[in-house]
Amino acid sequence: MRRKPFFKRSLVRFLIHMLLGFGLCSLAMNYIPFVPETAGGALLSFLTAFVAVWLLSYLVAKDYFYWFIQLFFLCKYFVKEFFRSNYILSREIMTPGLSLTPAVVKIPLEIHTDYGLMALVSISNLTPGTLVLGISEDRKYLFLHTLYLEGGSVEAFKMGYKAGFEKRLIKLLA
Amino acid sequence: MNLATEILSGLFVLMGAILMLISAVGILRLPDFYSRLSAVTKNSTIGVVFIVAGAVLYFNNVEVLIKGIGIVLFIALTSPTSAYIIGKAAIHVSVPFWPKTDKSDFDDLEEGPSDREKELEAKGEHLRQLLAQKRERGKG
Repeated sequence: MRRKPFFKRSLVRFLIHMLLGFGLCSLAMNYIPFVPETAGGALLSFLTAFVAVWLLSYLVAKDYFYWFIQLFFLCKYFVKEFFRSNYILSREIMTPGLSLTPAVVKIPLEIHTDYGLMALVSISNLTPGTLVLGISEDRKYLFLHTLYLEGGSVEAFKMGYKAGFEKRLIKLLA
Repeated sequence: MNLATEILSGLFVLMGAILMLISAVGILRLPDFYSRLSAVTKNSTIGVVFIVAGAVLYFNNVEVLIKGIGIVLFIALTSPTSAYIIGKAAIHVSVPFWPKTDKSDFDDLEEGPSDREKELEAKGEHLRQLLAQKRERGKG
């Protein structure tokens, strides 16, 4: 049997991980008397089951164990950037005067697969002032409209962008 | 239901509504189409997240929690995709940028027909020539 690529295998394992977490969570809600029937109780028991299954996966699939750590770091970074972007944009709108430094940046891509591009575009559309305007025909460049040219120049912005999400996504997709 | 959760959920819903209001004000205040699109994508998404969190806190049971997670997940999945499509359409009809925008890196995305289109065009040309030759022979 031909083995699936690592990324797809990890996605399937992630789905199994989620289902196991849900199953254990519902079992705990039904059979353990001190788990409260509230949203907080459900969330906590789900998290406990999820972490337990993740720890057990060290015995079954070691590569998934490490892949999940990368996924966790990506999610953490994403949530942080999401809140930061909202804070910056809200402040910009509510304070008088505009301090925007918009630019259109052409970023050379290192991710060329469908899943990777979709993840990258979705994430960049939800983070600090960036908006993807298009991907070149040969999937080599990304056209990005940004509200704040962080780092001062186009080159510095490119470096910052590549060190942010793209680096973390490449680790996931490798 | 005690008072504390009620107040907390009320605060969450209020916060979400304020964020949505800010994004609506942003549509009026920001200078050009692309920055407005940014404002709508980000702030309204986080507004929905806050309002759903308030609802989950208020009802505080499992069904609402699962529905809330579904709502947040699908909003977070579809809103950036639609923003991407709208932005691409705007580039296609060349909506103007704000004059202060740094466009040094931007060469027009639509650079004539793509390779595939050229290929098809060449094929069509070839077929047309063949047809013309056949007609010539038919006449002769």
